Order: sequence, then structure tokens, then C-alpha cells
Amino acid sequence: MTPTPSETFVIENLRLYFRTHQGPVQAVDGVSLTLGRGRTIVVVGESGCGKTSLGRAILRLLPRNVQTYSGSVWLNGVDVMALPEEQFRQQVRWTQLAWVPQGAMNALNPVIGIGDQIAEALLAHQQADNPLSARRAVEEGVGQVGVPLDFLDRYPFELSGGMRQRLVLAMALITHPDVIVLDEPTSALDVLTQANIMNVLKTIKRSTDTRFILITHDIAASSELADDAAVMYAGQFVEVSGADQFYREPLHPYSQALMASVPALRGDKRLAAIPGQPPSLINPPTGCRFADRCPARFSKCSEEPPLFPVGGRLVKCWLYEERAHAE
Amino acid sequence: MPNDLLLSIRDLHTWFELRRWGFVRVGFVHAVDGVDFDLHRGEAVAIVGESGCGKSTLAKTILGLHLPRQGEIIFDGKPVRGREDLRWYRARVGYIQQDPYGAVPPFMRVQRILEEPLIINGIGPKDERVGRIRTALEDVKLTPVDDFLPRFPHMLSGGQQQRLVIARAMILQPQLIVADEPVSMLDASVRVEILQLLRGLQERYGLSVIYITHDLSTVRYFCERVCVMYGGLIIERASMADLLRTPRHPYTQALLAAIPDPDPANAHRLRDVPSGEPPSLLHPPAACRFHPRCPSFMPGICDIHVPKDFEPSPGQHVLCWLYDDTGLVAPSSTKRA
Amino acid sequence: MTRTLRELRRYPSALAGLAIIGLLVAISVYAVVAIPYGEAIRLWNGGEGVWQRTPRNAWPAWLTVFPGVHLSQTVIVSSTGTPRREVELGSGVRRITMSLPFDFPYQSFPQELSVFWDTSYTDKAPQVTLRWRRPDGTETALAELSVKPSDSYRISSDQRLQQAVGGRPEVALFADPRHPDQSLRGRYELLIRGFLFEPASHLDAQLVVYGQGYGLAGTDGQRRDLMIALLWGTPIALAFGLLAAVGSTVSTLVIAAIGVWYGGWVDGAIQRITEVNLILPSLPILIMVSTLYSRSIWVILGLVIVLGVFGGIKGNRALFLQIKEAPYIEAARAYGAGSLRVVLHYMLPRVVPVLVPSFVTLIPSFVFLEATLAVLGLGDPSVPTWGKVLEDAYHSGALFVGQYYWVVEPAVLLVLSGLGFTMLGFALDRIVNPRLREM
Repeated sequence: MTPTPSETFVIENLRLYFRTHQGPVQAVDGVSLTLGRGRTIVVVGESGCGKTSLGRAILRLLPRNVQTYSGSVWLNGVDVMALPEEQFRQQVRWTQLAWVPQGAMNALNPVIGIGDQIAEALLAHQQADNPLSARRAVEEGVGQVGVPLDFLDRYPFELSGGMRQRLVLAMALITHPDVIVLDEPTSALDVLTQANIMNVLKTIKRSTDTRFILITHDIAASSELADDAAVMYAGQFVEVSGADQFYREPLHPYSQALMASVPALRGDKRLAAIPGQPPSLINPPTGCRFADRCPARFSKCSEEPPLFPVGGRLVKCWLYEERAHAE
Repeated sequence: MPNDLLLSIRDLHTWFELRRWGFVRVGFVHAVDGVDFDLHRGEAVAIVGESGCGKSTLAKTILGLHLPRQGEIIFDGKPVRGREDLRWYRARVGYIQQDPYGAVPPFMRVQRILEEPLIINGIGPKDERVGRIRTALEDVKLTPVDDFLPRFPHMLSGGQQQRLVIARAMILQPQLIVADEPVSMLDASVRVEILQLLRGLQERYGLSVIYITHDLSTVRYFCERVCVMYGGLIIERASMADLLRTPRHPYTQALLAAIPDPDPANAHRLRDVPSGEPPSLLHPPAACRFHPRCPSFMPGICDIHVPKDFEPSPGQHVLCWLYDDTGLVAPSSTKRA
Repeated sequence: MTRTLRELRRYPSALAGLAIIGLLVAISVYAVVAIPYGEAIRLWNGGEGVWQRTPRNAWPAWLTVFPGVHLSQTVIVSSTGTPRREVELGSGVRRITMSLPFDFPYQSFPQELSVFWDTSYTDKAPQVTLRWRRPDGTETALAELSVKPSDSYRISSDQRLQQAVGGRPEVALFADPRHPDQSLRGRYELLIRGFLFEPASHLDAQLVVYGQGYGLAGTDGQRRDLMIALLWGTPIALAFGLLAAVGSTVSTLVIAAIGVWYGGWVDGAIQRITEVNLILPSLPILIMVSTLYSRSIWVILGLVIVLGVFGGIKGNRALFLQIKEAPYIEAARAYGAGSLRVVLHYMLPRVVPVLVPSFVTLIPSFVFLEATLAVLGLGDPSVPTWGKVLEDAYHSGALFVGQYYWVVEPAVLLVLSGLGFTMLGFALDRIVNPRLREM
């Protein structure tokens, strides 16, 4: 299936399974999403749901023990999954698709100055002709994230966590990619620093067409950037929805339970825990994977539900079968 | 009420020496720089602050893990002096740490993990210890008990590990629990369980709890009083309700403004937060430590005079010249929040 | 622990290593049981008295399995089992005639020929004439001599006989005239005719035809069966390696733990000692001590441990420092654990599993160290070790004269022990060190 607007970023049925001694880990099990120009989607999930593997799968940063890696990733009209590795590295990774990993502040090379590290991204992808023009581009990029210019000659250990995170963001932005995947960009940071960085991201969102995929477990923080939201559970998307609808009225029982377990500062909210634990990604259960923790479980749940389209949203739950057919 | 006071801390300072080349003293990190604190029996108080504000150091000083440079700690009427044998004190204070997996020895089974504090404090014979272990596991709902006793920590989930840590903190039947970020490393859906468990245990056993966190939103479900810490000092103390309704200190206001709730409208507006970094504890800013970032900074006052403890409304204390009632600040420039 | 053992099964190298170690242990057990220590020492240091009847520098006898390899074996004939005639000649004089026949089925020549006498008399020694009869009937006169008690007649070294037969006696007396480079196979006889001059005196003789091959391992320049050294070298090597590895690992652990736990000047002092020790050249010191003081294997073992203790401290200290900051140590202090308890029950159990692989790979290095010292001539001279065999071989120029077996045998054992332990150690390392683990 070829999507017609070539500006849409589409992921189709992405699968990533790892081989381990105990069996194959089905980390990403058939994930699909669509992202229009300038839009941001947040992927929300708890630990062990496979969201970090999703980020890796999109960027093709795979470890040695991959068993299955399939699906399509359409970017600018091209299925980049089908490209050979070297072509992907040169043309797609970082130039069209960039990535800010978890704990990114520790991803900086401690023995190279900041300015040089960011320039390296440019030079490696031949987007600058010489170090001088690279330096100028770096200064511009660093200004965009709100870091003073005199920090460029310093080393990572001299900077605080917040500063480093901004610089890693600058590194991802410097090649003006079409899509940036951010994996927990603010979880290790203080509240004030987090707010500052979210402000930076919001500004960039408004001023460029860059698409963001924000992967996080922090539902509250995710609402800062989301145009669309996807909830990931046991390797699959169980709900995909516009932000307005999602935060106000989550449909999937897991989304609802998740929302109910997040403490809110304002308002009077009663919290409820979710009993049990998420299933292991090795040999996940047949049928709906949330069934044994779901308060609304019924007989049909022993069969795996598809993603039903409901009012412009997608919900992977039998409870919405009728609503979907009615539309 | 004097006999209602369990813990009393006066003018506590905990400094760490910084040495170069092993013996040249370069300076001190003022992690805790003059803290006064009272805790009553059965009360739950939160100490809120960002990383680097000194809250963990305060917790560890209270636990006797760090030696204060200055100041007193009085527990149940008796002074806690770092250099003496503190076993009487350690048995009455339980410690819950942030990282559930790191907090327990990975090579010991659950039974042994829980037995260690008992053995060290001379609780015996074996039958009594086993009885206490079983009760502790039941209290934290790690049941069936026999299922969990022989397990190693890596066979437990994150939530279960933290329950184990709580059980261990409870096993000596303490009067005070110090919980340092007990839920920040747990998943969102598990946090609720643990917070509810702690609350339940507190009510059942009449425990006093010091709950240390950077996440104000969890404090609501647990604590009656809050202390906000910044740069080694407690800059505001209030009941939770007062703090949410009328935060006084500009830092507290910034903190509250920065915390998002899951609200789709967030994506459409920028947050009004001060820029800058948390202060260095090695060379803290002069006088008021927040003044370099404060939107209400008053030059000539905030950078010259150390703010005193003011009480703008009953039960709410704040270290900020905006609430000056001594006349140092001209009335026209004092703002009422 | 059991989990580790189960995981080991996945690594073929570990299984091979374990098999080799098992083999070495089996050899050690056999050596200790079959030849008690006292006996082994006695045999090894016995000298001519013990090894008289074994050939010198003999190759391993089983090599004849290979085509083209011809090794003669030792044949011993004693006069006590063979016919003799005694004739009284009056006044106490007797004439005796003895015949010592034997079959010689080998293509290659014997190495040596000797006759050992067993006689007793008061004043007058018996006189004998020796003749040699070959399978083709030819006879050669060997010598005329008088016999003293515990005396021996070395036919091969008889210069006069050499000149008489025109060549080395052990070759000339056996050579096949049709194929002079081979020996004549068949029945030989040593004829002894002699006179006993006293009624109470007696005479017995033993002919030893020394072969070129002997036993499973051959013999060395002092006629000693090398199997003794090879067999006994195994438990000694294993014990030395094990004791040295245990001694140094335990000491290093304890010292590192103390230094890290107490910090301050204690840690500083230990670090300074460690740094000095790093510069100390251990091999020259070992050489000095064994040359000037004592070559006893226990002294060397002790010194090796002492020199090795401070070497590993930096690494262990790094481990301990990491562990010391672990949250569970803090928690233990918070519920009142004392320093000793923390070190013994909370820190050591964390460190020990990580040390096991390096401990295992440490063992062969000590084995090699002992062998090195021996080859340099500093080994304990009375104890049969592989290194000692190598040293003897070296001093006798074994490789130059083609006695390869003398060098190859101990070398193979050394290599095998090194291989076994390192394969096991590397596999253990892959299990214990998670970063090296395969998926």
C-alpha cells in the first residue's frame, strides 16, 4: 500500500523480535502509525512494553541477536526499510530520521568538545563543506535550543544535565531531519529543566515542520507536546488517538487504567492501581494481551482483537466492535 | 505539645569536604546549610526539591549515615550524636530507598534479607525472627509468604522489590520511616500501589514518615505537611492544602507552574518558568540562594541580606523578603501573593 | 552457583577445559596412590643404585607402534635361573661353567651391555672368562677378569674389546653380517667359565642388555624413568598453582576490602605499598632468594604469594569501591550493621563470583612460574617436577642430540594444563561478566 501524500511518514506493521536463550522476545509486534507534516505523536507505555525497541526499530539501530525485522517505513515516498544498510546510513539516518536516546546526556563523548561533537554530525553526512561553515551551523543550532555560545568550547562534564540534554537535541536537529524520535528526553531531569526543554521543543515545533515521535512513560509530560497519542502495551499499540480526545477520554481499558493511576496536582483525583503485571514479551499470551488484568474482560477476549476504527481513533478492544461497525 | 514531638532538628548543617590531590582542602559542598525541622508522632511530612538541593543528604543525615558539621538532632527526647553507638536509634528509624533492586543484596534470599536487621539488633531466637518476617511480608502483601521467602531479588518485579524494601524498613518496628524517592523508579501504575501501601502502614502503626521526592503530584496522596528545599535550605513550609492554594515562595510558585497534568491544552502554551540552573552547593549564591533566577528579585535586598523565616499566614513559613514584616523592605515593594 | 554450572554446559571450550582438568586430577590421584611421596622422592633421587638396570636416555617404548620405528627393549638374564656346572678340582677350588642364554628379536642394536656380579669370598676373588656366542654360532672372547663383590663388567666400555671387535661392542656383537646396520635376531649366549677358590664362595651373574626403548615415557640421562617425574609433577604443579592462586587471591581480597572500607590513611598506605610492589621485579627477586637463600619449594611458594598479593589490589579495589557505594550497603548501615559484617557478608559475596574466572586463569600462570624457575635452575632439586625434567633436558642438550621426547613430554603437559584452566576460566568469565555474554 503506497500512501499518496509523500510528506506523510508512515510505519506499517513494524516487527522486531530478538533471539534469546529463553526464546524470541517479541519486542515490537506489528506496530503501525501515520504522522503528517509538523505533527507530533507520543508513544506512551510502561517499562517492558517495547517502546524503546520501537525507537530502535525505526532507526534501524539493531543489536546482534535480531530474529525478525520486518514491516515498512515510508519516508518521503520511499520505503526506507527496504534500503541496504550503507544507503540507509548515508541518506536516511540522521539526515531524514534522527534520534535522541534515553539518558542522552550520557551519550556525549567525554573527550571531545561540544562544538566539535555537534559539527561531527554535519560533517559525517556531508552537509557542511568545511569546519568553518559547520561551526556556523552549530552556533545557529545551539542558539535554537537556548544554550549560550560560549559553552561550545567546553566538555560535557562541565555542563549540567539539562544543558547536555539540550545539546543532544541540537545534535539531532542540526541536519534538519524530517522526523526526530525522542526516547524519554526528560525523565532524568528536574521539573524546571523539563519545563524548559519542553518549551524549547514546543518552539521548534511551531517554527519548523519537523515531526516528533516522543516515547515516554510520563503521561503528564507527554501531554506537553502531543498532537496524537498512542498507547503501547506488550509490544502492540492498543490505542491511537488525537491528543484532545485521548487525554480527556481514553477508550481502551488499559489507557483508562493508566490515566487513573497518574497522580494529578490539580483537582481532586482518586488514584487506582492496576493489578498484576504486564506479560512477558517472550511467548506473549494468545488473545488480548491485557485480558487477565482487565476489569472489563469477557469471553471474546480470548481472541486477539484488531484495531477498530472508532470516531477517527483506533482501539484494540472487543468492547468497541459494535461502535466500529456502526460507523 | 512537647511529648508529641518525635523528631526535632535544629540548625543542621552537613558539609562535604572537597580535596584536591588527596589532602589539599579546596572547599565545602554545603549540602544541608541550616535546616530546622519538627516532626510529630504519626505525622507524614514531605521534603520536596529538585536534584542537588540537598534533600537526600538531609535524609541520610537524619538516618545517621552522614555526620553533621553543626546542629542537633533530637529523637524522642534523646540527642542523636553521630560519634556514639547509634544502634538504639537505627532500630527505631526505617529507611526506604529509591532503587528497589539496588537496595537489597542481590545474592541474598528474601528470608535472609529480612532477617539481617533482626540478627544485627540481637532479636532472637530464630522462631521470633521468623514470626516477625512473616508478619512483615503479610503487611506489605507479598503473599503467599512461603512463596516469596526463598526467592532472590531478581525473581521479583519492581513493585515487589520495593515492597520487600518496605518490609525490611518495617521489620524492626520503627517509629519513623524515611522514604527517599520510594516510587520514582517504578512504573506509573505501580506507584499508586506503593503509595497506598505506605499510607496504609502509616495509619495502622501510627508511623511518622519523612517522604522525600521531587514529584509534588505524589505528595498530595500521602502527606499533610510539605517542606520545599532549595540550595540546602528549607525555603517554605506549609500544609499541603495551603501550598497548593497559596504557594508563597517564588520558587514554589515556579515548581507548581512547571508540573504538568495530563491535559491536552498543555501542547498549545509555553510554561512560564525561570531559566537557569540549580545553585552550586560549593559556592552558593550570596544571601537568598534563589535570587539569580527569581522573577521577583529585589536588588540590594535579596542579594545582600539572608532571608529570615516569615510566617505570612498561620502554619505557613517562608524564607523570602517578599513577606518581610520587620520593616527591612519598604512596604510598597512587598507584594502579597 | 548451580546456575553457573548449568550455563557452563553451553560452552564447548569449558567442557574441554573441564575434561583436561579432570584428566590432570585423575593423573594426580593415581600418582599419589600408586607411588607414595616418600617412594617417589627415593626413586627420583636414588641414583645409580636404583636405576642401574634401566637404559640411559631411552625413548618411550610404545613408539614402536609406528612403522619404521625400531627400538630394542631391555633384556635381563640371570644366572640363577640357568644351567650351571660345578666341578670340584680339589683344595677347595671349583671350576664353574655358566651359560646365560637369551633371545634377541629386535632389529635395532642394544644401547649398552653390562654384566653384574653377585659374589662372596674371603680373600681370593673368583676368576672368570667370558665368551659370546651368537645365533649363527660364532663365538667371541670377551674378557678375562677377577670378580669383586657388587662389581660390574661394562662390556660396552671395554676399550680393549672395542679394538678387538673393531667397533662398539654392543653393535659388533650383534651385527648381522648380511645387513650390518641391523642386528642378528636369534638366540644369544653369554658363556662364563670361572674358578672359585674357596669352598664358601659363590658366584652369580646378571647380564643386562640395555634396550633403546623403555616404558611409557622413556628415561633421562640418569637412567630415571621419566614417568615418575611426569606423574608426580602433575599433583605438584596443580597444588602449587592452586595454593599460590588461593593464597594470593584471598590475601588480595582481604587487603583491598580493608583498604576500601576504612579509607583514609589505611587505604593510602596500602595504595603506596601496591605502587611500590608494581615496580618490584618479581622474577629477579625470586632468583635472588633461591640462589642466595633457599630453593625449597615451600619458600618459593610463599614468596610467590607475597609478591603476587599486592599486584591484584588495584583491580579488586576498584570493584570494592563500586560496591561500597551500592544502595544496599547504605541500607545495611542504616539498620545498624557494623563494618566487619558489611565487609564479610555484604561486600565479599558480591566480589567473589567476579573473581572466580581470574582465579582460574591464575592457576596455570603459577604453574608456569614454577616451571620457569626450575628451568632457570632454581627449582627444588629433590622434587620431581615438569620444570625439573625440562631443566635436566636443557642441561644435557637434549634437543641437540635428538632426544626430543625428553623435552616434548613435560612441555605437552605444561601446555595441556595451561589450556585446560584458561579455557575453563574464559568460559567462566563469559558467564560471570555480563557484558561478555552472548545473547
